[in-house]
Amino acid sequence: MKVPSSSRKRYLGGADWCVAALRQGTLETTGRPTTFHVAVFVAGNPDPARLQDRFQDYCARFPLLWGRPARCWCLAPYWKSPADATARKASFRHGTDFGPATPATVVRRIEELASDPDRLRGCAVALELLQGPAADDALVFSFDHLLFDAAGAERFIDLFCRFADGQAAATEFPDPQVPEPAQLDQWGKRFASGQKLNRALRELLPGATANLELPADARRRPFRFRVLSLTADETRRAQEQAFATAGYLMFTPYVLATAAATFQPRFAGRVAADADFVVTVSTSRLRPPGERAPHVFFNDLSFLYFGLPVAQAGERDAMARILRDQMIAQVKTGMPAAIEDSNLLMRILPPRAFWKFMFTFFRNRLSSFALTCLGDPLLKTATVLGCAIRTHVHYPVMPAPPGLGLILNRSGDVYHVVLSYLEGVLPEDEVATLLDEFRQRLLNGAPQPQ
Amino acid sequence: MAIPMDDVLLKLKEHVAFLLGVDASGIAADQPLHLLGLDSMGFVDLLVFIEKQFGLSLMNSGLSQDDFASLAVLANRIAGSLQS
Repeated sequence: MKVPSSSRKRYLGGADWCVAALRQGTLETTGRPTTFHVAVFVAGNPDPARLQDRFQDYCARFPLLWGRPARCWCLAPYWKSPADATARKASFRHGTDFGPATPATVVRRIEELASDPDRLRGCAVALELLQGPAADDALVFSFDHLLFDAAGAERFIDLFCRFADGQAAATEFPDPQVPEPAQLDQWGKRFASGQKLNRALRELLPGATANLELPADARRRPFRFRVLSLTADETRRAQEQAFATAGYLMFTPYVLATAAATFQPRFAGRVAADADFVVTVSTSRLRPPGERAPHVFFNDLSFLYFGLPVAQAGERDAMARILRDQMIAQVKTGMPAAIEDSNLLMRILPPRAFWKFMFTFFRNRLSSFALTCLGDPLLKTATVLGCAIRTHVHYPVMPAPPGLGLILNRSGDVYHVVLSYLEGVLPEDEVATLLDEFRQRLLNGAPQPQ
Repeated sequence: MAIPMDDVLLKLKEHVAFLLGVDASGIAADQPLHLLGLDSMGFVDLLVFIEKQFGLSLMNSGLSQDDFASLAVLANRIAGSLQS
């Protein structure tokens, strides 16, 4: 059964609905949705009035930014867009009361934005210019994950930067209303994919899951971020270590093994001795042949699930190879496609029911922590409003539970590593040393004794 | 089943272009795969593609990074394996 989309209606995919479910779960647990933020650090001071004008002009070209999820008669959820957005203004704020736009200042401000439940009320994107008494500023974009994934957000910012400088051709603007089929057919096939996924997960994850307790007052706790920025030389060394340890181009399994080894002592004292790490890794989706190229809007994601015993997670190199083999096995047996297929079927449920179903489906074993390694940067433009772009960093709110995760994004020739967590999931003194240890393990192996 | 190296290279370029969402003409045959923009997931998918398309399992065949120095080198290796 194929249902054509109208010009104001775009069917949501399986990944979109999975994000909607995690968003709903986080909303119920913490009182806030899962937003994500991208800071673009620039050399110079963009003119605030001109930036606001260009940003709001740019956003008005995309009415779907003011859209919302709705349900079709065929049960498929879709994104309902307003007919016109010319009179609408996307949220822009000129922040001058935070001091110089240093990385530390930007983190503090993003923690406030991420913890604000109304940050993106009504519109899926917002911009704040952090401008202090210094030569450099930062543009902080906030995104609703329902409409953007990290790659789409980078494409959106990239196009905005060129639009702001008058460099974007009309043909570059994406058509967000390209018709998509409802994809609520082939129920038997999608049920079978769900069964396949269930069996694979039971095989992969036989033991109890290592989960840290969320704080009892989670609704009052802010989302926190810690940032580690590698140098270009450190980035190259990390990549070489990954290739030598886990195999050519196996950066994600290597980073995951490094993260597990770093988290291990922090989990070991708090979970059962035989508990397994269960880690959700979001990746770019492997598109079936014939599908059009990735787009700016909506989620083009897939997920992989990894399992490893907490007790053995300290053995980074062995773990990297085990995780690599798990990754190969999952791709080879079509797990990403099975996940997507079963998620397409799960769209018949409201997000709240889907979120509760996840707990049942995973036998109350949602992931121990989350990991995302973004690939090559898609924000490639060198300037915005005449100011050189120095670097950009992603700050995603992690779904809670587990309320803990790492994201790596590349900007130019360096990697930024961001630890994202709900305050109280880990003690602050342990958080303070975590990224230093991660860096040492990423570059060298075991951390040096303090 | 012998397949000319140029045909292997063309299929590899088309698949990598598909994975990266770009035109095949923009894929350089002489660049290392990690400089083309492939990540772990894309690389594993390429290996699965090679297994399905050419019947060669490269995952546990002891290939070194040198064998993946570029798509041209990889195509040469695949064409050589298919001949022997």
